[in-house]
Amino acid sequence: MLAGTEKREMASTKMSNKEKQKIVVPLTARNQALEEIEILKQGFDLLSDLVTITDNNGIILYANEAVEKSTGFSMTEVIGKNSGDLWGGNMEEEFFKEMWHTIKIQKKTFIGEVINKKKDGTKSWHELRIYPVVDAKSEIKFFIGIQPDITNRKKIEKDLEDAKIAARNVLEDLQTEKEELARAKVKDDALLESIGEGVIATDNNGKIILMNPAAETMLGWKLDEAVGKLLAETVPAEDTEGKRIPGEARPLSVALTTSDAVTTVHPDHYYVRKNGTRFPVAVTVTPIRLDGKTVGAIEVFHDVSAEKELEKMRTSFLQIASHQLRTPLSGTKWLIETLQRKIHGTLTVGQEEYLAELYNVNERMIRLVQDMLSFLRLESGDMQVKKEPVSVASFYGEMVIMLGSAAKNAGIVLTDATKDYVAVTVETDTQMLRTILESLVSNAIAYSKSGDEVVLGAKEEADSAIFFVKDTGIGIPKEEQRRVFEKFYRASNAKLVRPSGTGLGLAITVMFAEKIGGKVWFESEEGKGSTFYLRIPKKAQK
Amino acid sequence: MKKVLIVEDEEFLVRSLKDNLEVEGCSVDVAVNGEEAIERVKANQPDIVLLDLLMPKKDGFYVLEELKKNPTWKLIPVIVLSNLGGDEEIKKALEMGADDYFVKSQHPIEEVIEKVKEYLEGKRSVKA
Repeated sequence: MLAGTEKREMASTKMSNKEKQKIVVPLTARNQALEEIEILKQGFDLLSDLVTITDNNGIILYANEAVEKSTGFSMTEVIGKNSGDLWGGNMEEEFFKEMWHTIKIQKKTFIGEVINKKKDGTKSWHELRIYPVVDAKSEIKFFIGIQPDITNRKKIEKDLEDAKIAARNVLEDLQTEKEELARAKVKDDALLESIGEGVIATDNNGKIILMNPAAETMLGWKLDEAVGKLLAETVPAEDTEGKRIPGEARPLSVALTTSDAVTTVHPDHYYVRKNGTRFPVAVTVTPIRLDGKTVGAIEVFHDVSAEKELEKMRTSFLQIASHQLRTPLSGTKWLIETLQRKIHGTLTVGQEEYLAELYNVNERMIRLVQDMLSFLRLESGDMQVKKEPVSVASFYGEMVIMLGSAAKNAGIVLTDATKDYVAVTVETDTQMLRTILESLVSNAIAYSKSGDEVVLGAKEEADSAIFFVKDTGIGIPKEEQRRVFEKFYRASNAKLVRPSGTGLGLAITVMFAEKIGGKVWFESEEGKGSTFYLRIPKKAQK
Repeated sequence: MKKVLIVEDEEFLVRSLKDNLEVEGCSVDVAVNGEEAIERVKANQPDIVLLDLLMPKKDGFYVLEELKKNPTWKLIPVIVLSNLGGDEEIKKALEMGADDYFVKSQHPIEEVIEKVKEYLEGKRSVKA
């Protein structure tokens, strides 16, 4: 409050209202001014803006109630002090320099934003407007400072800024994720596009959901034509002879019902294109499982025409190679025989011996070629294993007839011990069975001496039949027994008796046996003889 | 004298067959490919044909077909002598009318000669 008003107030409080009314004090101009100031002051105290009036050096002469409310400094603490010292602690030197320059030197209104330091040390944000008041001589008499509190506004602005930043971050993250997804999709698409194999995805009913470009090309169907249709109907499958393979037998159906991955093993699967042509195909189907349920399947397939061609070429190469190797060997064989038959004159003992040697070496070559070619064909998996019913008894009967002359030439008696046998039928490949037994019997004959007997027999077990060939020949030395099934291995005593053996016979026999699901083993004693066994299952596997 | 036609492109095989057959008292004619074979049959009909399968120009299957579709020639016995040992070839030749099939490298020449004699002496019947 301005000095000089106190007396008057004290006077008025002592008197009663009635008495106040009766006293008429002559209103001087000064009193009128004081009253006006009083009214103004009350008006200022109603403002929430801080109002300070300072002298031209910044010393506070007056401060409204809002100053105390906002800064925490009371009126008595504020009057006579410099506002900068009181609550200007948060502002830089530069700020005050600029402020003073504007208001004192330039004598212009200064408007800025300040952060005040409250008495308790906390901050408040204000706009600062300082108005210089000049007299008639343009000298500064007072500064009037008005400070609207903008703390809330500032807080709202900051919150907005924070929200903007947060939103921007979220947007950026989303953008990044979107780009990642797009990149991943491009990668997946590129992968599916570039895979040479056909990929078809179906739902758990076998309806097509997805097809990659390779599948479209191979099958002649576009995805939008095929989607939603049953794969089994859209793409028919056939076997070699052109017979349709029913839907339930196809890998897709099996995979969906059993939830196991399925691959076609045999080369007898052909897919029929939209235009009716067909191609051989290798198929693998994997079921898709989610939470323990099968929700669909993915089929991957590729055209094996090239591989089949290659296989055919390989096969025909082997055939031609075998023919080309046999031809000169048969030539030398017959030429030597012709000489041995003395068609071109008699022979000295020495010449006969040499011709015999020549002949043996040639025979060895012939057998080697034969065995190696058999071996190559077996190894290439080229041989199809047939499933035919074979009667054991009649089978042996045929064999005895076939091998009879070879046995006779060697002076061996071939006995069929199955004559009184109860007929057992096995399901197997006749040709392969014959090859195995021929090999065992011709070994028995080769390693027996004239007058010996070779017995052919068979035994029945629950699920299998056992064939055996028993001889009383040279037998296999104990320490060499574990090696006779090795490729090219020849037992020491066998080499003496039959120098032209190749060492491949038993190895090939074992391979054939495996092809028909069988096993070969033997019992033997050197000098006494050997019995070779072949067990095959009664029912052909797979 | 019985006439044998050897259809074979490998000289050394022809040589040994010819020598062995002539010793048995046969007269031997030779053709080195399928075309020549049919010409020789026309010119000098044999009593038996020994037939190789793989030959240049026309092969043995061609000769077999020509022989068996001709009313006169189809009665001539044909023994196939080939080094093609596959089941399919053997089956095919026999189905086309060959009377016998020898894989050369697997039989002594003596066996072939004996078989020829059997056919010539009428001891074996011929596929018509």
